[in-house]
Amino acid sequence: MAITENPLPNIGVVVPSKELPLTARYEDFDISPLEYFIAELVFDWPGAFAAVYHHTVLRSERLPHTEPKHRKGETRYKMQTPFPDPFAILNMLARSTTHTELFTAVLVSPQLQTAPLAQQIAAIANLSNGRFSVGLGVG
Amino acid sequence: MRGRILNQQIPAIRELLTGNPLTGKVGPREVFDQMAINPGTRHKVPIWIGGQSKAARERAAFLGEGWMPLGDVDQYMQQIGYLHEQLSIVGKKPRDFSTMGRIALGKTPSSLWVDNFLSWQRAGATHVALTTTGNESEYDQNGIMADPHHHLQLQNRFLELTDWLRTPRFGTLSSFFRSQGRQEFLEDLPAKLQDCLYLELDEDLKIEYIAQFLAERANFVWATTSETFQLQVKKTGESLQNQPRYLIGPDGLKVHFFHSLDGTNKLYVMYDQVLELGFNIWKPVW
Repeated sequence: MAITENPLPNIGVVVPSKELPLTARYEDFDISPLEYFIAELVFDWPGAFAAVYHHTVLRSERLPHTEPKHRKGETRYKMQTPFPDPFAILNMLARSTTHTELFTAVLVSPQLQTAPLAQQIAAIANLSNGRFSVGLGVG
Repeated sequence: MRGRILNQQIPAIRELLTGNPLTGKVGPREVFDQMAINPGTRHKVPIWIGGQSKAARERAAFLGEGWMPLGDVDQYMQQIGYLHEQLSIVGKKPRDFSTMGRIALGKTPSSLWVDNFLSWQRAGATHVALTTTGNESEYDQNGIMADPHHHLQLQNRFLELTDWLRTPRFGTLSSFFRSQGRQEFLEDLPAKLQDCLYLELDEDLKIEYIAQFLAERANFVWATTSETFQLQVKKTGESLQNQPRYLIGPDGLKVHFFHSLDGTNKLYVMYDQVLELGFNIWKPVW
């Protein structure tokens, strides 16, 4: 029941890039379900944001996850679960929005080469005109 | 190992982004001798750190501008203390530091969304990310749910439910009163509130609690410029559940009190134009 003076948090979405394929066509449209999602995304005002997954590396590594059902050497995701390149999606988001802040949530950077990664980060930061924040993690 | 690589990567990435040449080692494999990228960027790229572990929080405090936890609000509350300790070691202020909460729209009933969102606000999160991942049964065998509308609908529904929160006219009452002649209003309000509310509401403990709260913190009640400020309580039904009870507020506007839809007996307060009484405040969608 405490009164809060905290400002209202910014609201954003995690782009469902592992649920929506980037390859198949969506119904009668000439674009994929993920492209359709991004085209229809309304989160485009100052303070809104969109975050993109990156779990490619986890998937191929077959890390046991701590949840009980995953203990027997299973991966958290199936091999068929799509994890498209986050920078490709960020590129689409940068072009289709004007205010949305862009995030990676999170990028498993220790398994990527530092210099090309910096190059990609710089590219998205420039394309989005400074709307990009990069989330890094160990996966 | 990955943690140590990341610790070395972050300053390296920052340096590379400026376009300046970098010399040194990152992790066991990468050795740079006058390595630079072109173009770099003149924009500031905040670096957020993800993860639940203490190491992740230390890393976030020392090397990052933000922290992305994975858990729910309760876990966040347990973990944020340590992050703040680390921030104070570095000399950063918590208010200059960003954190991102999460609401799993696909796994939480929509009646809890607003509540959830407000608890993130109370916890101090600066960002709240909406995930639309559903329950496993909704996916095909490859973990794909290829209907963009499923995700869009959840997100848009959330926006509808929080529209009243995000609209600028709903400033907090405390800040409203800082600018709007709060003193004059306070001088004669508490007495009136006490008279009305206690006389009418003493049969119901829950409502009485609100009445007490209002009486104690009358400075959080909002008023229009109306000269007549009458509060009366009208009981509208026998059952408390989902049954609005209201006061007639300034200018004849109704102030509703009612129990939450999820049956947790949390009380909501709704005002046509105003929010914040310290409780969660709910705008009816009917």
